[in-house]
Amino acid sequence: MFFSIDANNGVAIYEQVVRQVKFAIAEEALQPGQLLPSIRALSVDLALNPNTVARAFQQLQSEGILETVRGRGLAVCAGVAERCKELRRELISDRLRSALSEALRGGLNTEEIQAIVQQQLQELTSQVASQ
Amino acid sequence: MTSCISIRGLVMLFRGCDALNGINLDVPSGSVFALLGENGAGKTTLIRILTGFLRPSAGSCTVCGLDPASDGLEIRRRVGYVSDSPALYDWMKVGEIGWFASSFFDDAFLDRYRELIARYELPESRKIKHLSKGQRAKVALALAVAPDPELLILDEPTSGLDPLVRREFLESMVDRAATGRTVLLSSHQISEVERVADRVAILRGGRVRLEDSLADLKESICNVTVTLSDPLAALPALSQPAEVLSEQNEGRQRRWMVRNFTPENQTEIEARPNVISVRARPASLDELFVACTRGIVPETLYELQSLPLDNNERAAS
Amino acid sequence: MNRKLAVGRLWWKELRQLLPLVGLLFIVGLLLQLLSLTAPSDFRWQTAAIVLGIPGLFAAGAGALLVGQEKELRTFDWLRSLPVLPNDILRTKLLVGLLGLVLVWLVSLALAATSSSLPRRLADSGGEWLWALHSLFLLLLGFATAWQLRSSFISLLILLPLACVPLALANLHEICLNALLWQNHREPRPWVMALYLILCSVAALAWGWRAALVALSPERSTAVAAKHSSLDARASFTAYARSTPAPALLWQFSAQNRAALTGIAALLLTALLGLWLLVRATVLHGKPPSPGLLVALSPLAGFLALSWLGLLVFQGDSLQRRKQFLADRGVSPMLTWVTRMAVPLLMLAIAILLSSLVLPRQEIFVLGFNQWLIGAAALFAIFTAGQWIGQVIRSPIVGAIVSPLISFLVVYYIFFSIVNLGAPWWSVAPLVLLPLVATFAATSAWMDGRAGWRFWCWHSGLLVLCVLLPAHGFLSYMAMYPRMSSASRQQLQQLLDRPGYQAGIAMSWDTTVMTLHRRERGGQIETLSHEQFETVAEYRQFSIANLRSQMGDSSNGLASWVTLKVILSDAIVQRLADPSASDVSRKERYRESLGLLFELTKRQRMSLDVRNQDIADELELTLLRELQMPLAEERMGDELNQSLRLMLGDQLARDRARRAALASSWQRSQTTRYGGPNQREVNNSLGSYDLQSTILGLVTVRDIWEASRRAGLVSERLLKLLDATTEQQRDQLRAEIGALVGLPPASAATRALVSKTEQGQGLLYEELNYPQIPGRLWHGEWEQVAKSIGSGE
Repeated sequence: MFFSIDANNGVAIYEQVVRQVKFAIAEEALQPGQLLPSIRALSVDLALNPNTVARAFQQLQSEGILETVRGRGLAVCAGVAERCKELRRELISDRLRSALSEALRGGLNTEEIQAIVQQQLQELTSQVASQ
Repeated sequence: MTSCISIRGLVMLFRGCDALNGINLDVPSGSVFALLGENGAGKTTLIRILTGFLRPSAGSCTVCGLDPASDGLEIRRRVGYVSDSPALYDWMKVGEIGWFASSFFDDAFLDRYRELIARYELPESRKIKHLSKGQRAKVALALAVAPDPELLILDEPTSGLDPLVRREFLESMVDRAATGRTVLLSSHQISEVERVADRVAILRGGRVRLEDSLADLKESICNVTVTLSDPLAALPALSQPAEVLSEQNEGRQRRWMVRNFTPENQTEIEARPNVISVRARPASLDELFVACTRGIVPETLYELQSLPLDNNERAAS
Repeated sequence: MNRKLAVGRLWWKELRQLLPLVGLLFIVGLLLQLLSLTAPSDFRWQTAAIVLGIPGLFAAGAGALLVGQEKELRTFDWLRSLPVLPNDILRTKLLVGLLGLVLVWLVSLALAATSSSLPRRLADSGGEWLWALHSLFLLLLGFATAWQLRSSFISLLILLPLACVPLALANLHEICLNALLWQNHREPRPWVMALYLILCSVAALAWGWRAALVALSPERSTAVAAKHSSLDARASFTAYARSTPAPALLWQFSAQNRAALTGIAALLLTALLGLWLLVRATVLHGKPPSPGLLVALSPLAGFLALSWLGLLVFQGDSLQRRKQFLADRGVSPMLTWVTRMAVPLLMLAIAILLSSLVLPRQEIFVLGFNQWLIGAAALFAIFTAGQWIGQVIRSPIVGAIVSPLISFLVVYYIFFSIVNLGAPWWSVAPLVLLPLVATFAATSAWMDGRAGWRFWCWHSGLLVLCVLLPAHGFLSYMAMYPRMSSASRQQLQQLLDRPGYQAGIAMSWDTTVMTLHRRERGGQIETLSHEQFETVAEYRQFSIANLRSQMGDSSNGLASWVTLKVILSDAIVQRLADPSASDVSRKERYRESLGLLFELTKRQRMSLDVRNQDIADELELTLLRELQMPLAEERMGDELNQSLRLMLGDQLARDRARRAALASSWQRSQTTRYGGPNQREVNNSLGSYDLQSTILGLVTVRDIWEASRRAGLVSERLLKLLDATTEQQRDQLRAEIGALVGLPPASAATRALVSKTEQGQGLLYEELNYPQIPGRLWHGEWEQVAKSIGSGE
C-alpha cells in the first residue's frame, strides 16, 4: 500500500500513519493476515524517523488492529475491517462538522447549506454514474 | 540513555564576532538530532569543534566519550562527517577515492563503499570533476557512511541539491537511526527535519534557544488565530497552564503561538464580545523556527544559561 | 587501519598530484634542448645550461603544488577529516618533494649531457654545484611559505625575496670579514655560500615543519570577546567618512590587497638591496662586476615588483565583482581611480627616491639631472604600463605573466627612441604619462565591466599615439627627406637587370685588399711598414714584388695608397733623373712601375665600387700626365704607349664601367646591414663612400637610414652627371653632390696632380689622396684631353 505523509497539515505524523493503515484496511487494500513492512523498511521508504513509525505501529497494536507474527513482523488482525470502517465514518463526519461550522460562522444559514450539500451530492453521484 | 555527544558551556570567539556564547547540549545515542538556526547562528562552528577542526575558546565537549581536541584521530575513525559542498580530490575517480580512503579504515570499508556506490548509481570509473553536484555529494556521503561510524554528522549536506538526492540522504540518515546509530543533522530544510528528527535544537546568536523532542514540541505548541471585530480590543491573558510564546498583530486578526492551549482556553476567548472567531491548529516547525529566531520568544522558554541576555533581546521581550 | 598501507596510499596520492608539474618541466626541457641545437655553436653550451635551471623551477613550484593547491581547493579539509596522522601527511609531502627534486635533477643532467661540452665546463667551475644546494633550499623554502601563508600566489611572490637571504648573508659575511681591507670585496667564496645555504635550508625546514603542524592541528582563535564599545569608536570616523568616501576607499584598497602589497614591498626591498650591493661592488672594483646572479637579481626583482605594482592598481578589484560593488554604490569613477592609484604611486615614489639615494655621488656615478630624469621616467613607465594592462586584461594570471614583458618592451622602446631615433626627451614623456590618461578616462567603463568597442578603440588609439609620439620626429624627418626620383631608380634598376651584367663584370671584392707588406720569415708572416726599409729603392722593389704576387693570387682591387705612392714616386724620380730618356736601367724601372700602374688601373676599372672607379680615374689622370711628358713614347716604349692610349681613349668603356659600378653600389647602399651600435658596416654607404653623418660615437638607426637615402640622392646625381651635356649642368651637379657629401664644392674641381713633384727624390704626392667626393673626376676636362690623345695626335 502507499502512504502519503504531509508533515505540515497539522496532524501528527504517527497519527497520519495510523489513520492511513486504518483506511487501507477499510478499503480492503490491506487484507486480514497481510504482513506489513518492517519498521526499518517503512521508515526508509517514507523517509520518516523510525521512532515515529514505531509509535504508530505500537498504537495500532494496542488498539488491536495489528498483531505480531512470530519471526515475521506485524500482520493485520482478522475481523477489524468493521472497526476501521467505523473509524473512517467518524473521521469524515468530523471533517464535515468542521466544514459546516465554518460555513455557519461565515454567515450561511441552514437552508443554504443544505442546498449546497444537495447540489454537490448530485454532481458527484452523476459523475460517478457516468464513469 | 547515554549521550553520544555532550557539550558543556562551549564558547568560541573569533576576531570581531562571538560565534558561540555558551552552549549546553546533549545528543542521546541512537537518535536523529537536528540543529536548526539561521545562517551565522553558529551551527557550523559547533560542528567544526565537535569534529576537532577548531579548538574552543572555553568550555568542553565529548564525542563518543572522547575529547575532540586531544583524541582527534580516534574520533575521526568513529565519526563520519559530510560537510556542505565537500572538496574531494577532483582528479581521482570514484573508485580510486574509495580505494584511497579504505587504507585508513578497516577491511570491510571497501565492500561497503562499493555497495553504496552501486546503490546510488554512480559510475565508478568517472573522475570526480566530471560528476554533477548531486553525485559529488553522494560520493561524500558514501565515503562518510562506509566505515559504519557510530555517529554521522551532516552539515547542510543537501543545500542546493535536487529532491532525489535529498531523498537519498534522508533515507541514509533514517537507515542509520534504525540500526541504532546516532545522526547529527544541521539543516535548513525544515520539512525534512520535521520528518526525520527525534530531537531539535534551535540556535541563535551563538546560544541554544530551544531544545526538545520534536513530538513534544509539536504536540504542545499551537498556532492560534483570533479574528476580532474591533482591532483595538484588548484580550485577557490566558489562564494557566497555557503560555503565550509569541504574538503578532495584523489588522483585525491576532496570531499567538501558545503552549498547552486547551479547549477551555478556546471557549474562554470565544466568549468575549469582540471576538468573531478563534482557530487553533498545531504549529509547524517552520513557524516555530521563525518565532524563535525573530527574538520574540521570551525568557521562559530559554534554557537557563550562565551568561545573561544581551540588551537588545531583553528590550524586545 | 594498516599504517604502512595508509602511508603508501598517501605517497601514491602525492606523486599523482606532482605528476603534471614534472611532466610539464620535462617537456619544457626537451624543447629547450631542441632549441639549443639550433643555436650557433658558440652559445650551445649556454643554452644547454638553461636546462639546469629547470630543477629551480620545480623546487619553487613543488611547495605551491603539493601544499598551497590543497589549501586553496580545500581538499585539505577532507583529508584531515580522515583518521590520518598529521605527521604522516607532512612527512609524505616533504619526501615526495625531495624525491621529485632528485628525479628532475637527474633528467636535467641527462638532457644537458647530450651537449658534449657541458660536463667539462661544469667540472671546471665547481661553483655551479652550489646550484643543486640552492634548489634544495628553494624546495624547503617553498614548502615553508606554502604551509605558512593562506594564498599560494602570495607564497610564490614572497619566495623570490626570501630566496636571496643566503646570498645576502654570504655577502655580509664577506663584507664583515674583509671590513678592514676595502679593496678586496669579492663574490662570496663557494664554501661560505654553501654554509649559508645549508643553514638557511635547515631554518626553512624547521619553519615549514612548525607551520605545517600548526596548520594540521585544530585551529585556534586568540580573540577576546567583541566589545560593543568598538562600534562607538568607529562612529566618529564614519561621520567623517560620510562627507567623502575617499578615506574609506583608500582603506578598502590597502586592506584588501594587504598581502600583495607586502609581497611587492618585499620584492622592491630586495631590488634595492641588490642595487646597493652592485654599487658597492662597482665602487670597490672601479668597474661593474661581471654578470652573475647578483647583477641579474636587482633589475629582475625591480622589474617584477614595479610592473606587478601597476597591475595591482586595477586587478586588485577585478576579483569577485568587487568593482561592481563600487559601481553599484555610486562611487564616482574619478574617485575610484584616484584611490586605486594613491597607495601604489606612493610606493613607487618611495622606491624611486630610495634608489636615487642608494647611488652615491662618486666619480663613476655622477648623474646629470637629465639622466636621472630618464631613469625615473623609465621606472615610472614600468608602473604605468602595468596599470594599463591591469585595466585591459581580465585574468590576473595572464596579466601577471604579460605585464613584466610589456613593461620591459616599454622601457626598451623608450631607450631605443631616445638613442636610436634621436627623439627629444619631451616626446617620450607621453609614453610615460598617456597610460594614466587612458585608464582615467576608461575607469567608468571598467567599473561597469563594459568592454565594448568604444573601450577598445580608446585604448588602441592611445596605444598608437604612445608608439608614434616618440618616433614622430624620426618619422616626419623620414617622410620629408628628399628621395631619389623614380626615373633614376628605374634607370639604375635597368642597368642592374641587364643580362651581361652578372656574367662579365661582377667579381668578388674583398675589403681586405693588398695593403700590407707581408714577408714570410721562417714560416711566420710578418707585417712591415715603410720605416723598416733602408732605401726608397728597396722599398719600392719590395712593394712591387709584393703587389705582383698578390695580384697573381686574387683579383682584388686596391684600397690603400701607401704602396702606390712608393711606386709612382719612384717612377717619377726615374723620369726626372733621366730627362733625355737614355738610361736604360732607369727606363726599365720607369716602364716597370708604369706598367704595374696600368694593370692596377685596369683592375680598378672592373670594380663594382664607385670609389674604386674614382681611384681608377685618379690613376688614369696620373698616367695621362705621364703620357703628356716630353719623350714619353721613348721612355715607355711602344707597347706600353699603345696600351695607355687605348685605355685613355676608350671613353665608352669607362662610362660603361662607371654606370655598372654606380648601379651596383647603389643597390648595395639600399640594403643596409646594421651590425649593432658600435659597428659600422661598410656596405652602408655608396660604394665605399661613407655617407653617414656621425663619424664618431654610436651609429643609430636614424643615421643608417639617412645614409641610405643620401646614397640614393647621390646616385641620382651621378647618373645625371654621366648623361649631362653642358658644362654648366655638370658643375651644378658636382656642387650638389659635394653638398650632399658635406664637403665644400671647391674641392670638386679637378686640379693638377703633379705640380709639386719636380723637386728631387723621395717626395710623396700630397694630391694623391683618398677621393673624398664621388664622381669628382667624371667627365672632367681631362677626359677630353685623354680622348684626343687616345684617338689620334
